[in-house]
Parts: sequence; C-alpha cells; structure tokens
Amino acid sequence: MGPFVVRLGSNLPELPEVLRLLYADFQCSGDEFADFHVGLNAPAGLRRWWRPKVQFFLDNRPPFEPLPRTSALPLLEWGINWCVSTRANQYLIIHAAVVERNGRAIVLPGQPGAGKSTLCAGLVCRGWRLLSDEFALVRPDDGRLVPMPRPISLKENSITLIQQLAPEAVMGPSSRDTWKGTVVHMRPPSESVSRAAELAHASWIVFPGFQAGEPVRLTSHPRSRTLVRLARNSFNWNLLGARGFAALSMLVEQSACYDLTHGDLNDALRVLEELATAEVPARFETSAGRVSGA
Amino acid sequence: LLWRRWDQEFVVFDPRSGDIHLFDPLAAEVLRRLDVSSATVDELSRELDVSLGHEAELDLAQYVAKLVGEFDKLGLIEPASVDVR
Repeated sequence: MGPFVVRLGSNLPELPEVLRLLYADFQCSGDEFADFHVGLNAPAGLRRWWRPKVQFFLDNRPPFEPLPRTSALPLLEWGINWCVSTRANQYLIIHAAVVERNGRAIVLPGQPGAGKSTLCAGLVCRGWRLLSDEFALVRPDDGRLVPMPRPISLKENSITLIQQLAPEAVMGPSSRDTWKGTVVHMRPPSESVSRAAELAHASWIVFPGFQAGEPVRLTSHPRSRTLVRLARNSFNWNLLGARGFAALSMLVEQSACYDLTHGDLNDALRVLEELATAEVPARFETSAGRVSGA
Repeated sequence: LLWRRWDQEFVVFDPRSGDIHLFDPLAAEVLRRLDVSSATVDELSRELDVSLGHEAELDLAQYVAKLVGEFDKLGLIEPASVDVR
C-alpha cells in the first residue's frame, strides 16, 4: 500500500473475496518485512454466533472495541488508517485527500463530513490519479507527496452520487449501520496503484465544504491561514517540531490556496477541473464558479 | 521562534511549546523586537512609535501592554530579570 507493507491475518472466510475485488491490482508478498502486522478476527466458539462481532488487531493487540461483523471491511480500512496516522512519523501526515494530474496535485484537507472523499472519488472517476482519499503524506525534507492509493471510502449519499457519475466504478459490498452510516469502498484505478511509487508536487490546497443547496463558490484563502488550518488537520506536525513546520510551510508556499463551498458534486468537479487547467493558478474569488487568473 | 510571512500576516512557530500563532504586522513587530532582547513596555511603545512615524492615533502604551500580556499568556515571552544598578 504505497510506501507500506501490511501483513494481514484473518479468520473471516468472507474477507479474501472482498480483498481480491478491492485490492485486485496490489502486489501480494509472502515473506518480506511488514510495516504493520494486523489482524481482523471474529471471536472463537459460541461467541461467534451471538451478535457476531469482529475485532481489529495490531501486533496481536486490539486497539479498539469490537464492531458488528457487518463492519468488517470498514474496520480493516479504519484500522490501517489508524496504524498510519499514529506510526508513520517519517512523514508529515495531513488528514486530506490527494489527487494528481500532469504532475500537479490537489490537496483536499478536511475533517469527516467535509466531502473530501466524494470529491476525491469524483476526480478519480474523471481521470485524476489517486494518491489517497485519507492522508497527504508529505516528505519533510522536500515537501513532495507520497502516494498511498487504497480503496476510497464512500458514505451514505456519496455512494449513489459516485455510482451515477461512474457506473463502471468497481464497488465493494455495502456495510450498513456502521458508526458512519452505510459505507461502500470503491476500488482504486489500476493506473493509480501501478504508479504508487511516483511522488507528486502539491499545486493547490482546497478546503472543501459541502452545504446542501448552496451554489459552488471558490474563494482564495490566505497562505498564512492555510498553514494554520493545515496544522489543525495534521496528525503529527508538532511531533516533527521545526521539521513539521518547515514541511507545512513548503506545502503552502508551492500551492495556491482556496475554500470550496458547494452543494452539487458536478459543479464542484467542474470548478476544480477549471482551476487545474488554468494557465496561471487562479487566486481570486469567482462569483459564478468560473476561474479567473491572477 | 520560526517565522513565515505571507501577504500581511505572520505565522510564528514556537519550538518550545510546539504551538503555531498567527499575528498581524504590528504584533509581529513587537514580538520580533522581544525575540532579539528584553525590553519594557515603555521602550517597546517608543520604538513602535518611531516605526509608525509618530503617526499612531491609538494609545500605544496600552496597546503594547495588552500585547505583551497576550504573549506572556501564550508562553512566548517571560519576565526578564530586573537590572539593578
């Protein structure tokens, strides 16, 4: 998975089929070093039959409470996210989706509910390369973005939106009644997986905000405030100290920064694509969602 | 302290606390001065008055005293020892 090797053990008979579907393009390795040794297991004995649960393990220890068995795949994905966000401190880690086209990446930072995964999936369905729907992994020394393409987690209404946008997209099983509602994972494009070793430069930092019924609006955001917001969305910048601050600064320095408010996925995708095709990075607010150069 | 400036705002990283702060140019001017050496509120006010070309309409001493209090609360500065001569 990008720069990480994950070794997974499980006693769930339904898991291999799901993994073959969603991780079809990933390399399997038999015996090499693994960054994370994880497990996803149902309890043994009669307990398996009474309100079936599943538990995530890291190094044979369960960091979380068990969840209903129907949440197995989301739990695996969340568990791997947790492993990365708490342990991969060789990178500056920002809670953000990242996609790239023509060597230039859009970083979409945001807390859950901001719509970053939906926008990310939408852009990927329109040909952008997926780096991650969850983490911007930034190399502290040069500010470059390290891809970690994995299945994109879609929730509730986003599932239908993406299915309508890209009926050909490969979706995993639907996990209902998770603590995030209904969750479905979309298989990452083969090309994104095969190019996972190819780093990218950030060119745009866009803070998405979904507001039902609102027209699309792209507003320039000051770099100083972008740095502060990125720090709030980072898992470990203060752990990295001055290197973390320098990496945040590099990322902001090389990017044009925006707020994106939208109530319609297609409008938001159109505005982001216009932004990316502008000769000069756009810098100013546009009233009708069109992009003007600086 | 580590500084970055974009447009008219300053971002300051304090390596001791790991905190990031956002300041306008006036606050940044005062903090930069204190980052070099200690000074009293009167000294800071006089120097800021010079920097502003003696055109400040606001009560500079009161403004600087408030700023210094905020810097202290944020752990960016600490009282200097009094030079008794």
